[in-house]
Amino acid sequence: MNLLLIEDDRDAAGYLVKALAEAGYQVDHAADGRDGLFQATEHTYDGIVADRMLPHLDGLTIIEILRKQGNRTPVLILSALGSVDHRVEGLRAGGDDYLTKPFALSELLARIEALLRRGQVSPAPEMKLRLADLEMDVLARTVTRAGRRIEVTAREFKLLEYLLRRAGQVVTRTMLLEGVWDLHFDPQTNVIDVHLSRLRQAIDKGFDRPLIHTVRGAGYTLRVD
Amino acid sequence: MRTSALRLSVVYAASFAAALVLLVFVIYVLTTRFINAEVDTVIERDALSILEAYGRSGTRGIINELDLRERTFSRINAVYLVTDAEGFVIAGNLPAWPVMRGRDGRWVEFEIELREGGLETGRPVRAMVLEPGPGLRLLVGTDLSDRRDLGRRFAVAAGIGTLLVTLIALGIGYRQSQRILARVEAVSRTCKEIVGGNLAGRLPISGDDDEFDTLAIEVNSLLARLARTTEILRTSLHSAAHDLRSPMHRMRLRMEQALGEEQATGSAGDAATGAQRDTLELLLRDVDQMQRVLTALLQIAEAESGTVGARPEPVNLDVMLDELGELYQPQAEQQGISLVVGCAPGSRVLGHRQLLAQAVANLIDNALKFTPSGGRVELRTQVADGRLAISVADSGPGIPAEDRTRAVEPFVRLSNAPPRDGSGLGLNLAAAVARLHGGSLRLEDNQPGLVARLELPVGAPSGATSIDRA
Repeated sequence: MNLLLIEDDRDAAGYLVKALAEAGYQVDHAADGRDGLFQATEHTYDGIVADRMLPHLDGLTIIEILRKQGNRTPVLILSALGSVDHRVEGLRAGGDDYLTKPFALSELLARIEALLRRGQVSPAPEMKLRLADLEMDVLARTVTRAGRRIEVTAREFKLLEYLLRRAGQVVTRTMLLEGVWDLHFDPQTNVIDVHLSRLRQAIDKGFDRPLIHTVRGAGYTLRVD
Repeated sequence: MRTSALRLSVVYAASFAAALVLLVFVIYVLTTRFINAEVDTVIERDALSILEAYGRSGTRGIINELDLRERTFSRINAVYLVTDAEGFVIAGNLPAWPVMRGRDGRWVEFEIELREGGLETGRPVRAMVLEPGPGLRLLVGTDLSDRRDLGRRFAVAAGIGTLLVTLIALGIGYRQSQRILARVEAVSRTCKEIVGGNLAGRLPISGDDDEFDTLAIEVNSLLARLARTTEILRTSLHSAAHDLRSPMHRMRLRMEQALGEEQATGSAGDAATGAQRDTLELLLRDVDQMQRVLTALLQIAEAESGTVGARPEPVNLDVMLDELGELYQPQAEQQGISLVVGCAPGSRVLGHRQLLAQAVANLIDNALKFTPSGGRVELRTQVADGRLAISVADSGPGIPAEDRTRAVEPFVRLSNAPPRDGSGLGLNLAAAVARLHGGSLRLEDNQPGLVARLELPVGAPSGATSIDRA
């Protein structure tokens, strides 16, 4: 997987390139907007991570130009501007996700992973999801594990669906809050953790192999060990 | 607005008509009085000259005098009668002594019955009765029917005139008040939009160069200044955010980098590297805490200064509150607190969903934080007087009465102790969000505990206009 990082802050860019490379990505770096746009047009990337405020050409303009050219490469916007409005502006310009600085590296990696996977998903979403012996029928709204019916609340169903569609990926608390509750703020407490522990009770209790795993300092993941 | 224009013009037209009626009445009274005086003078003069004739040649003189008048162009509508001691008519144009209707000294009033074209009509007469000699009675008078007709015509003319003028006044008044009210409405509509955050709105200028235009120009220049100041504020908030977040970003990356190297090189169980690890992790937590406070401060500043860029949109509060209740339910249960949600269905406001959700989340979070295990937190909505109140009531220790108003003022904190988690600005942000929506946040005594009441106007200020444009 190769990424383009457009970031004018050289120090920050250095750390990011290193961290992304450690996570297994091939990273190209552009230090200003114009260079970033050239590179994005000349090469094909699996994903672009672009700072919003850049010299010569700002991040949102780059995305708009790329989208007008028919370039659908997923873009994650990094920004020091963090209000809900800024986020909306970023997504309206054609960005796929928006992350406010400063952020935890784990948050960045989880979001890049989600972004790259999203690019591969077929346009019609699966209606029957499965992981090991856990099955979910999205239309019938049923969940079974090892053939046994599991009763979940509407919200737990949504939460589990979100995790199942991203099985194997790390999902952070803010991603869950955004994706499952459509809330774009930091609730400052462990509300999400409590929901996850409930879901865990419903899904994993009484089974030998747990499917919901906590990723320390990052979030959660649904996978077979 | 229409009814208001009608009411105004009716009031104006009615006062105008009343003034007009008064004026016509005064003219009528004065004119009648003048004409009456004139009639009396003429009769008196006439009577005098007849008396003179009597003085010269007795009864014969009166008969000659009246005869002369009948034959010459004497005064119009004159009525004469002379009778002797037995009451026989000696001279004059009346057939017999009339039945008097009113008497005032020498002055009398009566009616002559006449047949005119088959109709019985009465003609009013005012006359003077004299006794020039023994047994002799002289009546000198004037037929007043012309004057009566004049009066009637005057009354009819005045009535029609007043009616016409009143109708015209009503029409003009209605148009004028409609115009004025339309302009007032335009002003208030623009003001509402501006309160709703659309600082680009300007009052319309008609070009008539009237007081309204003067007012509009003044208000517009005020708005231009306000827009400029707000823009400066917005830009400085953003650059403050940017200039603080960028170094924090580098700081956080460096720490994570150092932590990563530590993990890679440090051997497990090494005391020194373990201590360094702990320090780095504490530092990371501090940076996250700084970020939370910074974000909360910026949000409060944006909400308080009305520099939130997005337009308000309809928010289904009952749905939002149910979702928030559900979000916090497991945590409440874990803490042994019963969280009760009771929201009236169909409560919609115009606003910023994310900010409202965050405000209510902060209130719930706050309530859960201060309520002991076994306690109770209630999330409810009420609608009264066009305002919707979201209340979060807890059974915790509450806040002393003297601190309650202060606690929701911008940037005021009750305790100087640093917050353990969160920004410690949750209540301030909720209050700022309430004010941004034209509402308020009030803290009250729950006996025991605290009720935080977030009140919002139901038809939010920026109103339908914002949706129309969106």
